[in-house]
Amino acid sequence: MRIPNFLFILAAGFLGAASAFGAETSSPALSSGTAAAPVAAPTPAPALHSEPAAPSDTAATEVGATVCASCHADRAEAFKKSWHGRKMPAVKNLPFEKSCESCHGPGSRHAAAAGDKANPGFATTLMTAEKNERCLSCHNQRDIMNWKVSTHNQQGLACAKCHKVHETEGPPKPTNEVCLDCHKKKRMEINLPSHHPIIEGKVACADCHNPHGGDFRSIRAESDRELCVKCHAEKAGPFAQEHPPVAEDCMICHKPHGSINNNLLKQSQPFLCLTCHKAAHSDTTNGKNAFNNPKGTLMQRETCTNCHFNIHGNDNGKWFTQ
Amino acid sequence: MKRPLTTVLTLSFIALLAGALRAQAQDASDQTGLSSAITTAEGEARFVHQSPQGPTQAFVREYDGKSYDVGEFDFLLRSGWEKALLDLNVKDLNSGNDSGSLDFSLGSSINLKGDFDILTHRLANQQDGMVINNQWSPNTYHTERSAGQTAQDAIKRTVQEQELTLSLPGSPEYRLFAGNWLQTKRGDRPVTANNIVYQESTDWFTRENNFGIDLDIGQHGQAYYEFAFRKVDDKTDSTTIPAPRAFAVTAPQDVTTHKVAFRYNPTQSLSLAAALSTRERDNQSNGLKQYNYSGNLSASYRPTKDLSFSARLYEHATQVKEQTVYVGQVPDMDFMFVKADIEARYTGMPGQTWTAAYKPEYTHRTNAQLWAETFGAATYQNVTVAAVNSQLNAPAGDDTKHTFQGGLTLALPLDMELDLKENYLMANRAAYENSPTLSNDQSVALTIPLPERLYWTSSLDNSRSENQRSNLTAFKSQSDTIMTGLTWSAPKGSLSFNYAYERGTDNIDAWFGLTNAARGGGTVKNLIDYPTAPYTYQNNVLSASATARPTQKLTLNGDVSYTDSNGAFLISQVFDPYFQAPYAGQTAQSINPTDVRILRWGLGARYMLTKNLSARASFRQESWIDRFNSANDGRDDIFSVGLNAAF
Repeated sequence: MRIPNFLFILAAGFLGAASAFGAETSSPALSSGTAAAPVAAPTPAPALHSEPAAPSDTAATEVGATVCASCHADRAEAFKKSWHGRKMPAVKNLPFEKSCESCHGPGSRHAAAAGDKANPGFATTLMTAEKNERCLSCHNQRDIMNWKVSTHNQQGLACAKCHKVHETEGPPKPTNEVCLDCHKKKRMEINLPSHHPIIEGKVACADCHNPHGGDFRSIRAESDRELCVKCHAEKAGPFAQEHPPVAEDCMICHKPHGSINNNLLKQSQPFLCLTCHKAAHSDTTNGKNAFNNPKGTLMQRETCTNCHFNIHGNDNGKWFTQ
Repeated sequence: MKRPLTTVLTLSFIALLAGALRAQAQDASDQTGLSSAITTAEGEARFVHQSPQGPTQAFVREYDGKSYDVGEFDFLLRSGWEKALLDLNVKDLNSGNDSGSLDFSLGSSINLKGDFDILTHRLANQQDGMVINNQWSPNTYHTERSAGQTAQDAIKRTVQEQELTLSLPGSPEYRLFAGNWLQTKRGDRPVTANNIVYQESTDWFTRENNFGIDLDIGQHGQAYYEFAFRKVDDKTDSTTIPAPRAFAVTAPQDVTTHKVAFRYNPTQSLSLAAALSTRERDNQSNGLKQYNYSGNLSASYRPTKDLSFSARLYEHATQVKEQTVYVGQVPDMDFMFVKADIEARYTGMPGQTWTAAYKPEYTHRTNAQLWAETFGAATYQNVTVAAVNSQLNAPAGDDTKHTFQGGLTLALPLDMELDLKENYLMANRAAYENSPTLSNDQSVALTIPLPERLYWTSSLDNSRSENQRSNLTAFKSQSDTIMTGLTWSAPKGSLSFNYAYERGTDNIDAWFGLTNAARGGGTVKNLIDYPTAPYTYQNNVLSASATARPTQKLTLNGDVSYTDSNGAFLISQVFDPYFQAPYAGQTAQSINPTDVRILRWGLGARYMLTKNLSARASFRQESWIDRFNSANDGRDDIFSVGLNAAF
């Protein structure tokens, strides 16, 4: 426990310093809990944990959601029932009347022009990154913290590409279909004979991947192996007799999304094993005379793990056969 | 497997809960006069009939816990008040695949989330065998359990998770969080040991409790610290069938994790993030301890609206502290890898998006050379001569990889889009024999918007990789994938169609020990050297789904997926006289081939009887056909009818 304890102390110090730094720089207006008025973005990044930062539009003024709903009635009705629409008053203390313009900006010019799309123009004139900033002004905590350094952000993905901001009624967890729309090869793999229960709805892409960017990479663990052994804990060891590729990375032998072969293996046995153990049971490895075994040759045994059944590691014998 | 009692109890519970919640919501609304209070509730009761056919149904129903002739229930509640929000959703109650979720928020200060999920995993008896003289031949050295026995093998996996977050006032704002994650796996599974298939009881348990604090760093940053303790336990009794045998690896563990992470955006164009974690895994059965140390530093920079950069430095190290009571053949391999990636994206040229990335990676392994197999001298039928220990298969002690990526997205006339990607990897040596030292992947994708809201996409992927520095197996891999899809979406319906074709071949240099080989003068003679032994595979996967709303009251939906997969280790060069009885004199084509067709399809309809009441009916069929081993064939028909009521 020596090093973890050391890290604990380091973490406490780090958080203490961060806290002090935060205290110096946080805005009194934002920490007072009062509603922030729309501002002309004097700071380079949006406000945090207050009301969503409204975009700057000095010429326009707020008109309220009732005015918006007079034209966008269907959308307003759906929004009221949506997760977003229910959460804004409950959690952000933001009444429905303010909800449209908290993201879209003051709408007086838009209303006066009877639908001039450039004003407030959220859907038409803003770049993806600017639109995402609106979402990030509220959605910026742990799981979403790394969005700006994530692969999806680097590829220019908009939040609304995956999330239906106005319509989603329950907690906004996109279905696997949203991921598979772009990751088409994964759609094929999850339909193969051996697969994680993704098409059966029992494993979601987001169970393993953090689409907003993980703390280490895009997966929800510090390494591929640690991700796998959270559920498959019996494979984690450490064992006295380890199989090196198992200890290093499960993906050396397995295809996690789907495979033709049993147990998500990359190739069928014995081929998979022979890719590293070329001369297994050929009488040239370790001086064994295996081919004279009365149970037949390697090929007639067909599957290596019939004998080497503890291939993920064991404590009590060589070659994973005990 | 009828469960009338649980059916009645669950139905009663749902009815009571629905009534109570509806009354409570009404009361709350009446008393407070909250005009913004929104409560919707929905309940559904279904009768499900299932008729499985075939020897085991174990493959076709691998993840299907549904029982025969039972009632299933769903319940959904969505409420929102001025200061609180509650979402409750339970699905497939009483099915064996039950799941549910809860989300409750009280103002901005309290949030409680929870969910549970039950998965019934039927574990097929994975029969192995060869194709000899074009006929499937099960492994004659393997003692199988009967199909009837293994059909009953299933593990019930239950996962539940809760997380409580308290947002506390103060400057800076901070939040305390605590979570509980619990997984159990209980049931029976087939386990093969020494060529005998046993049935083993399984009762595994993993619980992880975590807590921590996250806080704001000024207006532009955040940090959090998290401590997690995981307990893994094996409560399995010793029951195995046909004979008690203590072959299962029991791995009780205590796992302790500390993690600290932060992000800071000094300017709107620059973002930084970092994380550090340590994990200690203490194997309670053998006393070995494993330490993981991980670190990550990421940055993104967008100097102009057209240009962005991202960079990442990632490190992960694993060290095992061994002890003398349990000693392996050689010490466990410790390793550390460091990966970096730098990527640029440019959109400044009209209709073009350029990307480029460079990803170096370095891995160091201790004790790697100790894992080399030793080889005796051999001569082969093709006159290949291998001196003693002239070839090794040790993992690389150190290896370095360089990956270069490039991409271009081009806007074409008629709103078409062309996407080109290249990925090129070079390594100074292979980490393992089946790791590439050279890999070259290309992909081309074309998107075409068609009239009437139709989108057509198609792509071609090509991948080649090879261990060019192998002194042993000369591993090579190649694959090609063609994918195409069509989507259509309109107010009255939607359609999605996807098709993928993949083919690939992996090659190795394999040696086979044979019955007529002879040993003389310290050299094994007359072995077969099979320098391009191939593993080949092909997949055809088609999937489609559609919804239609012909009238305001009627919704129809359907989906189909068809998978045709075959793969095998082809050994046609190996034949008589190398087999012992009972295969002597015969020719083998492949070992452990897969050649299956899987069809899944379903149709459903929903009809609104009144504004709040609807009727549903659906039919699903799943079938599995194994062209070689018919013992794996199975079919399952699932028919359900239900009533859905919204409150």
